[in-house]
Amino acid sequence: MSDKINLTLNVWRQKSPKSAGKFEEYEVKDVDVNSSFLEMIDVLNEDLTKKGQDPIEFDHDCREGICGTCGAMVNGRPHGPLKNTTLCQLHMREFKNNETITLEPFRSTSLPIVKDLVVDRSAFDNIIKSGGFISAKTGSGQDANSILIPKPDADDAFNSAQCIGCSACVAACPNASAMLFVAAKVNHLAKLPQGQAERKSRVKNMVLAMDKSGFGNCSNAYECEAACPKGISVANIAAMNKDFMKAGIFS
Amino acid sequence: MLPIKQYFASSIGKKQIAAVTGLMLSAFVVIHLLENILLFKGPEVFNAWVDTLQSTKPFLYIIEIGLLGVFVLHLFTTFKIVVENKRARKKGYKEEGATKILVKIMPISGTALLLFLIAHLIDFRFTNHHGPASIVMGNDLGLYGLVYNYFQNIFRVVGYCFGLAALGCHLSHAIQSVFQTFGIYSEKYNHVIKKTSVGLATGLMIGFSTIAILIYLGYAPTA
Ligand code: HEM
Ligand code: SF4
Ligand code: FES
Repeated sequence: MSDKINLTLNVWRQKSPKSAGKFEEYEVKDVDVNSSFLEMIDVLNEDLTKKGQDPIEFDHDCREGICGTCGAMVNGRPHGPLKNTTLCQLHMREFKNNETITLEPFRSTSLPIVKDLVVDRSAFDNIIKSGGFISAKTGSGQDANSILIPKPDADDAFNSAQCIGCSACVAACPNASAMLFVAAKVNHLAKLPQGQAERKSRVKNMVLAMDKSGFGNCSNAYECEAACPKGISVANIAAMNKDFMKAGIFS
Repeated sequence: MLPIKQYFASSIGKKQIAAVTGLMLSAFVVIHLLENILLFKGPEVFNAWVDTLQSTKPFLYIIEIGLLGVFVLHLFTTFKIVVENKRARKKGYKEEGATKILVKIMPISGTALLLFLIAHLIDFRFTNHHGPASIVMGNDLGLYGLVYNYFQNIFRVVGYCFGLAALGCHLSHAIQSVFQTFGIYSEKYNHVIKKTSVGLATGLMIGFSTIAILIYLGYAPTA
């Protein structure tokens, strides 16, 4: 019972970081509604390759919504219309027959386009390098109960830790701000006992690294939260604002 | 600790300057509305309050200059924020996302406010408080008379209401935003913060506008 739909794709094609780029239209016939969005592009790409054309470049790895590699703007929304869903987990049954879908790369100055829908997320790596870790020698695994963590804190830390670094928050933000990503990373460790030793330097360094990369400032529009495939809450941003103030002024 | 300059040059530091200065300006606007309500007590009460303020000189000048300083700081900081935000995405999307309109137009409502405030200061702060513009039915009613006469003109009333609409738009988002900027967030009270913000902004907008309209309609005493 696999239904088929026909679609028109309006895709941003850009050969290289420096080239201008433009939208190209593609008719895609007989798309299986049970295929994923990326599988739909795979099929189109096979077609394009057979015709001797350049396939549409897009990033992907796990295809199960856990690695944060995939992502594009689908009709103006990062990862497409479905809440809490990465592009790889989006299925074609969410679309109507004969629908036109606009596909654009995530756009921000700090995450430049490499090709077509692929962006360079090195700026995220640099932010993590500036402090998104714990530099303790951990040795072998300790007994699970040797460090007690209250359940609400563990839950909070886990919720923040779910961020997969996909950069949809930057893409959705009217200011291309990376606050949700950075806040998730800061909070994940700020909630745990193991993160306390470097808590102050971490928040300072990560915020400064974020600023240095040229991301925009947060206007509290909360578009990031709406777009995040992992449901990261803007409560993280509030907590980071407070932590940054504590570390920057009161210590 | 971060060096103070570095702290306030950071994205979060800048936001905090915008928020603190914005909050101070908001506090002034609230006080200003309370003052304006005195208009309905008649020229004597209103002018007596104006005289009380004037009698505090030079303290009054210090407050005025302080307020101007806060305003300029708000303007510079938000200007820098907006320029950086534009730079962070040079090429926009074909299909725009659905950013809340009041957030999107913060720079526009702010600029409208700036223009309104300049006109407002010229009209009331830098116009002589005594003289031809203050005369109501043969009596020089001072600043009261100036305000009274000003709002006899429908175009000025409408222009004034537009200025306050800008204030309403600006503060609807701004006040709730201040809470987030200072890390005050709770699932339980967010809706209260949001309603307070929109309510306060709407209240100020309606309050000021209503006073102007009532004066136009002849509800302000002339003696
Ligand atoms: C009576 C005058 C004004 C008041 C009471 C006021 C108040 C505020 C407040 C409370 C904020 C929130 C800060 C935050 O996001 O945490 C704010 C933000 C802002 N204000 Fe004003 N403001 C005034 C005038 C202006 C003017 C004249 C401009 C511009 C010319 C302006 C531009 C902005 C902008 C762009 C923001 C948003 C900054 C961001 O992206 O977060 N404001 N304002
Ligand atoms: S906060 Fe959400 S949208 Fe942003 S990078 Fe992490 S998972 Fe992606
Ligand atoms: S490909 Fe890994 S999250 Fe989509």
